Amino acid sequence: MPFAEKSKQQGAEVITLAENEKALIAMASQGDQGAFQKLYQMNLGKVYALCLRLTGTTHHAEEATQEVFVTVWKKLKTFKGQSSFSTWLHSLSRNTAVSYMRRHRKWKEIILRRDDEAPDVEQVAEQPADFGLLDRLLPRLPAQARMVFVLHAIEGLRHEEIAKTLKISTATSKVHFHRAKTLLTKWVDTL
Amino acid sequence: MKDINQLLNNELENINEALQPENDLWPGIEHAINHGSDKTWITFNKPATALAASILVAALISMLVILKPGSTAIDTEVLQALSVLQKNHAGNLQSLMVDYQERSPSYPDWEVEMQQLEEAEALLYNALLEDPNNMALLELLRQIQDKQIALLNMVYAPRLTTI
Repeated sequence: MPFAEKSKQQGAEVITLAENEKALIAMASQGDQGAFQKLYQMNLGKVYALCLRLTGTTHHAEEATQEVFVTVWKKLKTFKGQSSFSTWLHSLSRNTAVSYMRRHRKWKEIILRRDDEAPDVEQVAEQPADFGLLDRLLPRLPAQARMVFVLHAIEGLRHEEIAKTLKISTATSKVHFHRAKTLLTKWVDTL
Repeated sequence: MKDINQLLNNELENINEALQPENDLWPGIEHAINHGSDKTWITFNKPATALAASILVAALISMLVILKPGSTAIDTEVLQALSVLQKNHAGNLQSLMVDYQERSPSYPDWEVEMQQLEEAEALLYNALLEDPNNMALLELLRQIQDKQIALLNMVYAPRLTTI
């Protein structure tokens, strides 16, 4: 197929997808669960990837992902289209996952007096064999360092934004990032 | 060092945008939406109640008593006692849930607290499996279980204040 025709076809497909998403959002915000489930299926992969990288375990990632979509269901009427749906959803996913981590660290720190320790080797072994190198190493990072690394290096947030999201100082965010990078570099070097 | 940095940068550039969970998450989401719950503490792809989680932990401990290599006689006794403790706790929770099944909770966010208590309980069990003779951990576990019972009582049978 000539390139110009192929581009035109791909462009038309993108427009159709966007119109489809817009229709689903409109229907879901009126209470149509079938439409919402389709939105869920279309966006599950990206939301789960973000939750997994931030939380570090499949168990927490699944719970955080569920919380994201329950929140989306509740807040869908507030989405007015100022940004793209995926941008809005991504921001909501990030905040929900961070909030989830904040709640789930509390008991662990209190009961076992652990503060930002790396997870057990067994938790790391949970990762599927087909994960990329970075996705296999991220769970080994201490929680705060992992969240800062994911938010800065993968999500592209500035340290000032990360500081606000995680309720830490900008300097602390930079320290955590440096720690994460040092650990990742060391682990890659020993592979 | 430059090669490793380059490798990391390559990994970042080529990272998968999407990953798929192993479990089907939709039933838990659908349940939370239809029951007006903020949290998916009760999900269909995990134990549905604190009771089921307690029974699973009891079964796990029982298995470990049989299978754990290198266990001493004292460790085995303690682990067996732990299993009995957990079964008793599961029984207590079951009784309460039967008593309260027709009632509505007195405040909506109690499931968050229960989830935190369950997670603390699970962490303590993990710690005790590694260090069965740790009395401080055992005492903490009892306190957490008491808190679970107290929470259920408070949520479903709050005491009336008297003037």
